Amino acid sequence: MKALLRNKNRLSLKWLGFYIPFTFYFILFAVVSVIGYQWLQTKAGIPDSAFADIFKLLLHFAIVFGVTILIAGFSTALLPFLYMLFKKRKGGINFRISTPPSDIESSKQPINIIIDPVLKPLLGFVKIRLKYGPDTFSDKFSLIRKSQKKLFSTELKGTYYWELPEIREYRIEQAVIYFEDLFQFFSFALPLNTSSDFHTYPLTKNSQSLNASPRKTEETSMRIEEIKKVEGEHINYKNFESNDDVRRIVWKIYAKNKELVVRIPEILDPYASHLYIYASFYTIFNANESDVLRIPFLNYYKTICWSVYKQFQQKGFDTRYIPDQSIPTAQMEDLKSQVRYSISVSKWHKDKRIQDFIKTKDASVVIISSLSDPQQVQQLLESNGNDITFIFVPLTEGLKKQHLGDWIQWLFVQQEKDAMAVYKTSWSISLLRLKIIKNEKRLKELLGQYERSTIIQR
Amino acid sequence: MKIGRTHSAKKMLAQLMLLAVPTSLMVFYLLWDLNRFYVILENNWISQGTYFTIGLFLSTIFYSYRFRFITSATIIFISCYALYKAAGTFAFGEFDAFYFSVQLLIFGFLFSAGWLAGFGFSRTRFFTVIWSVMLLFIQIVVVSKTADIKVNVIINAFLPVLAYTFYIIYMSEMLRNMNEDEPNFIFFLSKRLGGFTIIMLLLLLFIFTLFKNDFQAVEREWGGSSAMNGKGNEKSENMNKKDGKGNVSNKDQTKLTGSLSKDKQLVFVAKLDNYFDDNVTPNPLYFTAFYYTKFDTLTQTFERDSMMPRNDLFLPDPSKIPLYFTVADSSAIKNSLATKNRKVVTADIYKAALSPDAYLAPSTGFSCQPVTVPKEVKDQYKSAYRAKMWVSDLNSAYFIYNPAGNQQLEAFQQLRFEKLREIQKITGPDKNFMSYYTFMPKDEEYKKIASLAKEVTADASAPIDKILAIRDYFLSKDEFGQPLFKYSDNPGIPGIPSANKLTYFLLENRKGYCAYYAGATLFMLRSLGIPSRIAAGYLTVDRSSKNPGWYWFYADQAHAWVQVYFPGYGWMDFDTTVPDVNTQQSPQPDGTPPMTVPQTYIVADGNIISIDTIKKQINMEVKKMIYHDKDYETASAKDLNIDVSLATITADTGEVRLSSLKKGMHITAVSYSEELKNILADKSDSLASIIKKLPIPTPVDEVKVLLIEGLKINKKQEEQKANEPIDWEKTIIRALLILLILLILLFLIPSIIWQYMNARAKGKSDLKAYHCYRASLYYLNQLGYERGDMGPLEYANMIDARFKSSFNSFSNAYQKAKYSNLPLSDSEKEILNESYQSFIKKVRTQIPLKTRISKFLNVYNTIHYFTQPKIS
Repeated sequence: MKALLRNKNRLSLKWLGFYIPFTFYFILFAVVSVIGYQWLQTKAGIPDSAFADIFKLLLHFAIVFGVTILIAGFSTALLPFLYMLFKKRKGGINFRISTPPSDIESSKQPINIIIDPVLKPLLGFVKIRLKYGPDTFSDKFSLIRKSQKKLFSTELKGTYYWELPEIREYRIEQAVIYFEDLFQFFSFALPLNTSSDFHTYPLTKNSQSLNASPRKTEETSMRIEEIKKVEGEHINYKNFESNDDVRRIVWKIYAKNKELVVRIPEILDPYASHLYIYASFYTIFNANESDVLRIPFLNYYKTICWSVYKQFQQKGFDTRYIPDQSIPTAQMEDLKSQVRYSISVSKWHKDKRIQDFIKTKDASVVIISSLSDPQQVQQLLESNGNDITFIFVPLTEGLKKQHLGDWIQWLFVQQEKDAMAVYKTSWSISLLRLKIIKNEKRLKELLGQYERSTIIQR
Repeated sequence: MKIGRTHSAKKMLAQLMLLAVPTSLMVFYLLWDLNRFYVILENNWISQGTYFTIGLFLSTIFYSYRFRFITSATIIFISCYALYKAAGTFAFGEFDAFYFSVQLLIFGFLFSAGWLAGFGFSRTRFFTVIWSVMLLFIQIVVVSKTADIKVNVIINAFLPVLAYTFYIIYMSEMLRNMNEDEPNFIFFLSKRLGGFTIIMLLLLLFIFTLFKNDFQAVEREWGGSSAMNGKGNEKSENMNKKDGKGNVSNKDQTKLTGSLSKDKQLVFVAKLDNYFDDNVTPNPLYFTAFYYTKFDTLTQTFERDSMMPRNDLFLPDPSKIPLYFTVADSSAIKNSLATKNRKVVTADIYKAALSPDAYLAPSTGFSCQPVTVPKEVKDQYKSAYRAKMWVSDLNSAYFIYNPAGNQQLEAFQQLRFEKLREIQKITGPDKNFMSYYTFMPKDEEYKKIASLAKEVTADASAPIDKILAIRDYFLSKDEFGQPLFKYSDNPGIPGIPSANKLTYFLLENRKGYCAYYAGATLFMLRSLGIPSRIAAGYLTVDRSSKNPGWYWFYADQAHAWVQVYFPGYGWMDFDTTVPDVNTQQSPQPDGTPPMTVPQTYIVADGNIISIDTIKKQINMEVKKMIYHDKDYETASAKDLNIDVSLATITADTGEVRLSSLKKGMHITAVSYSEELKNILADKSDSLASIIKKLPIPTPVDEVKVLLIEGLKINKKQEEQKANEPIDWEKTIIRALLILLILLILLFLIPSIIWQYMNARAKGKSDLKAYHCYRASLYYLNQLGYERGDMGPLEYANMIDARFKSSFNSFSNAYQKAKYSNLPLSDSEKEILNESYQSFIKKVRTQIPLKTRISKFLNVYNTIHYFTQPKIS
């Protein structure tokens, strides 16, 4: 209860902080001016001399000028604010946010915003801040506008490329619009209600080439126009023997050479059409307690899952992705978007064990992480290690190690403030670190025994 | 190791152009201003500003990459320090090494300041505010110190800094908030910059008009420059006067005022051949310009009187005397009435800022001979002359000061007083003389001065002792042990404007500058019947022993002191001004004296007949000549052809070019050429015969031009124009007007283009269809119906749907005419030729006038018409 109250107070303070009409910059300016003024008073000089008279006059001039220009700035920011407030009371504000899915694979989510009508402060700025969680706010940003059509438009329309840390579903609940003056001394804030949902996409990571083949047969409504090229077509033939399946005779070769040959190996099911990918988000560790597990590791895992899916897709297989948790239904245009969405909203869980989730007869690819239970994995491997391609994602590779060179570089170069940096430090002191590393090692050992398994390298 | 960028190249460039450039300009200006006050900077504001600018630019570029400040700055600091230490170990010569290291320090300081500023602007936010506000406040102090108090000058100095302060804050915030992905980046920047400029100008103008009266009031009250022009006013005074060309000289009068303004400009440099009895130790003397013998009681001003009895003031105009020719007046010696303990002494005076027509020499001067200035220092010293004076042994600048413990000087001082003590009563040559030089006004106030004088000199009998008593009175201490009289440049004025300033000074205020002390002493002595007068000139300060006999004179050394007449000895200098504690340590260093001039063999004086600028020769007619130090003159002028290819040509204003010389100008040609050394003249030689002996053309090293009123050299005019300060009000108004006109033009552009296109469409030509189509499209686009990426047919259909016109048929016909090989049918031809005007009319009638006007003000549409669509 106390914690909740404390959070609430902190939140309301922060919230209040948005509404202070002047900025820290203005306070700095005021402080420096006052100090300077005090210093100047000591230099005033002998009264009734040329120096003192001119000095007083110039000081006076400077002060009057400064105050005038500040008042001008203040009013240019205040007027649009009042106008907007007035319009809001009347209910005439049109504020729309849309989050189109970006085709370009980047970590920035484009957000299109239209506000109408809004007056822009003369030579000033209009900025927006979005609230996307109970107490999480984005940075203040200004919109990038496409080329202007009208000379005086009361509409603010533009895009913001928002760099979001997590790959998940976001919901924007409220936006705060700021009117700032030309010196950035004053800013007036006005909250606007809105709602928009979107989810960020996993990135693609090019990694090593993976091998797998479909095992599941599904009914396709497509006519097979061409003979599917199956791996090992020209190498793996054997002459027809009496107990082979007649259906597997390669008639083309018979037509040419009058030989009866049969395709082998029998492992390859020529009628298997679909490649099923099972990605397990099961964790034996307590994921919710650690930020590192929750965010960078999860992001990395999702990225790898998505990359694996895409790779097989690009190879020409009909791939299916099977999630191991319930995904809220969303209307998606195509299968690919659906899969992407599923991956985006997945979380670590302790509910479904691997054995319960994977249908071993159909599975072609199983993706596991450093958080998976080695015992479960071992069980699975023993029975299906030769049939299923296991892909292991070592999550600790998601956080690069600090080299000595990095330290020297740090001395001279101030790298960009990376969210990863925070995670790196908390990872290095985390209690779970050793346990997870041990787990990884164990899993690597297990998988090393089977040819079909792959470990994702960084 | 890849080093990322904090700012993209675009942003860095914007930072350089919009922040760094104005900042470095402002710093250049500030340094130029500071150099006028602090001589150690040696007026090298250009190179100092460059150091700062280099630091600023380099650091802006450097910190646009992600370097850390502390580590990089430390490395640079260490390397600069190492350089400084290394420079110290290379001893060039002791003077050079010191000079070099001081310069290095200045360089280091300025470079670091620039480096820090670059980092501050580039990466931190708070730096901008601190920097600009600090600069503004510093400039307030510096501008207030100005000696030149005119509205335009002050505004000139102050307004740019005020504008800069707010500009920098605005610009750095704008750059910080700017999104580089924004299209039309440059347009965005220029829009904002333009808008800001307009607002600033408007505000400045508005507030300046509010304050105009206050500025003018200040100028009236303290207008130092009008005081410089000799007019003087209530509140302040300057002992020097400056004319429009910047030449300094003493004033004809000195007024008693509440404030004395001084400045530290170098006025002239002199070499004085006066030594003590040992013939080694130099004995400096005060340099006299005028004598003030009259006092105007109404304006309380000391004035010259050219009718004073036994006028021993010799005042030639050196600028009118041909080079190396001498002008002398022995009546000055006669009128000095001095016979005992006198000798002839020479002085060479090199004028830096001193007026060309001024003549200064220790009293009593009687001869003037202009000499050439050595080539190396020609830019520092405009002209020079040699003076000869009839000087008293008993006079010395040291004697006039307090010798302050120097034994040798104290001894000489005692000797001086002993000699003068022999005179128990001063008698003049005649009654007129005595009554003139002991004249006192009959006022009540002056009676008070007289009674004070009697009181102070009660114990003295000999005149010299009376003088010493007055001097000691000024140096005495009060009951608390504090000095009774103090030196002050700003003594203030008595509360009642008409009150007598001297009595206020003597009896109440007890603070003043040299004119006060001289004036008070003058009247005190006169009241005691001692003939005295005030001398105005420059006080001599012997600062360095490196150049014995050389003395430097700065503008703040302009001075007034008392001279007392002793029969037989003449006028003796006495200075009763108390020492100024503030200027005890004179900051101005002495420079390097000009070298002596080599032996001149020939000096020819005459007028120019012709000039050959290609061969660089001048043909002149010579009437007077000095050859091997002998004077020659002739009644009929003889021609002389001189070779000036290696000569420096000067006038009193400085060096001039050969091309600016004209026929008829009066010049003096001087030669040091070795060729002439061996061509000797006999006793029988005349000017003509010597000229025959000379090589033709005669090599010449110097040509001095004597300016005649009618002939002006253009350079002076230009300088004068440049000196006029800018009238700010007019400039701002003009700028605003121009901006307004540009803005109006900008908004009229769409209409202008439309008129042009319409005219072409209506006219007859082979490409009429093309012009019609283009005009129609433009018109529709401007009204807001842009084509975008629609095809012609689609677009035409849309137009027709909106306006119920038949643009479709026109468009089709046009496309056919443009692209197909088929001939046009008659109806199509008719459409192409005729339908344009009716179409336009139709569109026009359907759109109300107001909308049309507002659409035609929209410049964006015009821009879009002419720019290619971006493929996005």
